[in-house]
Amino acid sequence: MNPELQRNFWLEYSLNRLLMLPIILGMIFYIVYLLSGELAQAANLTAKACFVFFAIIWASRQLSDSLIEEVRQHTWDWQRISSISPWSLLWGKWLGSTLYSWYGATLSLIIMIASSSLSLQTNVYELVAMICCALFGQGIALLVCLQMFKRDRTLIRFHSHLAHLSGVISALVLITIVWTSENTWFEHWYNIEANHQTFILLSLCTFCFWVILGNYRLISDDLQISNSGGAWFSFVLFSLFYSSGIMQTPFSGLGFFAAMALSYLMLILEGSKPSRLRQLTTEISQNKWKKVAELTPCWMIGLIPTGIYLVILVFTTAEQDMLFFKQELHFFYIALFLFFLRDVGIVTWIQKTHKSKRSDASILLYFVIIYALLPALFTALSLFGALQAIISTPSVISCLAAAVQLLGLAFISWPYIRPNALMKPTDPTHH
Amino acid sequence: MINVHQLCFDYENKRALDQVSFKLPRQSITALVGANGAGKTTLLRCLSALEAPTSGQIRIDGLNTQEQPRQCHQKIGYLSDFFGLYEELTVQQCLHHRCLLYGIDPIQPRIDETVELTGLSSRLHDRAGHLSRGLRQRLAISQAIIHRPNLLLLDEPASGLDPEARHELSKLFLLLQSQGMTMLVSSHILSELEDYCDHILMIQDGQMAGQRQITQLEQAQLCLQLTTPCQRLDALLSQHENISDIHIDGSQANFSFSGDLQARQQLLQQLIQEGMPLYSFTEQQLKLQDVYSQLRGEQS
Repeated sequence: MNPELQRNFWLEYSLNRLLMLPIILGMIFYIVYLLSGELAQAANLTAKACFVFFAIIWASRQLSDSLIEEVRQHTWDWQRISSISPWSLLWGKWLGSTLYSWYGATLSLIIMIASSSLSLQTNVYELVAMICCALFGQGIALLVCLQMFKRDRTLIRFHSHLAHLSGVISALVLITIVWTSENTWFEHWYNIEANHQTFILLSLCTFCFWVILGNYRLISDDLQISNSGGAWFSFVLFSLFYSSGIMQTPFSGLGFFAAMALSYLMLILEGSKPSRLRQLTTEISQNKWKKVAELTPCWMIGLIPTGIYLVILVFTTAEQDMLFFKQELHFFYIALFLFFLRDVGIVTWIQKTHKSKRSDASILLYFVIIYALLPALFTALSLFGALQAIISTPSVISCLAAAVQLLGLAFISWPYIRPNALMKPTDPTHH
Repeated sequence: MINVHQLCFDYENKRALDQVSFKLPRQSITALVGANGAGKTTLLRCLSALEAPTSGQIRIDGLNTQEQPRQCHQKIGYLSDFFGLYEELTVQQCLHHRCLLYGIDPIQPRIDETVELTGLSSRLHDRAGHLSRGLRQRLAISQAIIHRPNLLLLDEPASGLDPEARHELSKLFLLLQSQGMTMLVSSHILSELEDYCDHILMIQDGQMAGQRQITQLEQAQLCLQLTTPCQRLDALLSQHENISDIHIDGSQANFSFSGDLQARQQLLQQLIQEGMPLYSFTEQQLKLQDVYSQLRGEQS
């Protein structure tokens, strides 16, 4: 038996708990029936609400807490130093820690189907889609937890809340789309005519695949199994392709924005530690390309397809007339790309000069100043030239300003990240 | 068993390990010593393939920890300074879970063998969270050795244990050594390592400060005491082929002696024949503290 599944069986299951859940659910349904007087409809809605509670809210909490508990009890290293495969560890931990909530969710789904007045096809669609939404939300919670743990090897309750919230919000957004979708035909994705619900279901299955793959790669990484970043590269490519199709034009800016958003997300989650960049430049200087592939951060890997896409975009958007940007839209894309690189430089510099616990707050503060306070101030003072110099706008000035800032930061950061940059020996403090 | 070459490990703003190189023989028990923050825990974590070094190479039983980390994990048992126990599971369940993690089959005979070794046979159904510190320590060691690793890495294993528990721990380590296990034990309390370690490895500020085999030194240190100082003693000892590192302080002489018991008896006989006013001829037990001081002296 899977060790994590077995451990959770020992902890979660007792006859008492197995009997208690159906009794509580039965009481809830009976109360709702008494209050509404409409058994089938009330039961169906309550079952859906119970499913959201069990499979999304509670399960995401349990999954994010499971890793926090491992770190708190110092048991995670036991898992890492063993023979278990990343896949066994992943599904064992995932299913194991959410076992009891899936028990409740399954009971809710049975009642939902039994009380439904919809067709069999719609019921099957709802059932599969809701399970996918729940899996996606749970996967996101675990993904955020693992990514934050990878960054600084400490997990606190705040991280668990953040991971839980990310999982719940993403799942709720998707499940809302599922419940509001209609069984109609549409032509929105690359001008393909498709059934709306089929498209949603296929999209959900694909999202689940990526979130599972992401978790698998992060666990592999934590077990010291080398990762080359190919999965992230493929995911960015997929995001570019998937998002671009929604705008109906062959190369829409939506794909680019999605890829840039992913790069920003990874920059925040992964950070840009000078020690890692230094190790990377050292390996490049020694032509150790396998090691280079392992050490390259995801935000950097994502820039390769995004950069290629940017070139295509620049040459295909010149004559488009979109919103008020007209012909200068391509400058906006270029500036966005360059400002991202500037932000990487600033994050690297902050992580070099600040202690790890404070660097997150400093990075957040920097983003608030650059992207909220200063634009608001410059707009209020009608200093549009200055505004173009700090955030991406569809103008040449933005591109030049971003390039100048990028070069300045690269000049400052280079001594810390150049190959074989010397480190001072350890301070006499406990790590 | 362990071969470390030019190992470096960087934290964000400091180098924790700097060009560390050493080799450890099979079936040895080595004391890893150094001040707090010297890099002992980082070194153990790199050796256990839990952390990837910035540069350098580690080979455990011929396996490269960076290229074959999962194979290395099967050969290594690691006990961190926090025991890391699932508090709500019983001893039996903790060990069962560990067996599943290593794919051990059949499970129960292995659990029985292990608890027999660590003295936990009567505690199988107690919850880990309800055990005393000494017993928790034993459970953690049981978890670390249940897959029969070739190498056991222990980080501050005896901290917080009472003298009785420490003595039991020493006996357990010697027993594991006799069964073929190699051990590297980190501590900054030297007295607790003295009972079982046969090698010492010292790191200071992330760098190798020295490595010695303790048992050889123990056998070699002799001390002579005369009733009155004698001028000829230095010349007499210097001529002897088995003697080195002579330190004469008034009527007392300390030196290293490489011969066997018969050679010692001949030396004593010779000294008496030469008319030395000898009243004491003893072997000096070199304490780990002395070796540590010697290594520190060499380093400075």
